Amino acid sequence: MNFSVLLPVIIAVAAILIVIIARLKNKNKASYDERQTLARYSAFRTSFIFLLFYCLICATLYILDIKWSNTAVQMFIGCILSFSLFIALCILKDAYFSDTPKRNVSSVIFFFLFGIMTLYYFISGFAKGNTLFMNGQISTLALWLIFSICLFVLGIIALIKLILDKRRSES
Amino acid sequence: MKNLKLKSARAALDLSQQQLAEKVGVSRQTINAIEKGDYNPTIKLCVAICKVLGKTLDDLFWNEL
Repeated sequence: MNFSVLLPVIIAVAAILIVIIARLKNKNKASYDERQTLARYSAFRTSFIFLLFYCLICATLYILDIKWSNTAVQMFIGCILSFSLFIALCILKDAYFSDTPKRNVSSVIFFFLFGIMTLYYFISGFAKGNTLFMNGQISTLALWLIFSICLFVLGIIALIKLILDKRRSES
Repeated sequence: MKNLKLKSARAALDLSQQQLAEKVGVSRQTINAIEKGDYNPTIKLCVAICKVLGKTLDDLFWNEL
């Protein structure tokens, strides 16, 4: 992997670390009530089971000598999909957003901005001559496309949920 | 099953779901889910709601068969 591929990963890891440190210091800690906590556990279980099944399918295909991608890309795809599933389920069950409207809006902006960034990496990789498939296997470039699609879908779900929630609270 | 007792008790005090949620310390969606019967609250939350609305547990959460 070259630097252009690693940079967004480093940014994402740095963002996660900042959030973890901020949470440890109790700054801007999101508080969830009992229903939201339960919904988050449920979403976590679902996404974990999804990841297990995904790994099982990948392992089965590997044993059957059907190599659709290298192991690193397979694992990254699994992580992206299961993490996106967890976030989507949390949003749908009203267990993702906190009570602070400012933070809700900023999370939607984050989804779209990060989505645009990953899409940029996908397009720039495409422009450099990389393809989605190399030697009959999915390349690392496809990761950015999948990541971008997931982020845009999450952004759209979050936006719709915010609008609906605002309407309901007004009524 | 919808919890109409809770809804009417809240409306009697002229409280919105948001206001009740803030007083109890939960999200508005949770109050909405309880009223719609989509979520069974814990006894702790039931007691907190009863205290805010000035009702007993029987008044709000007991269903006659």
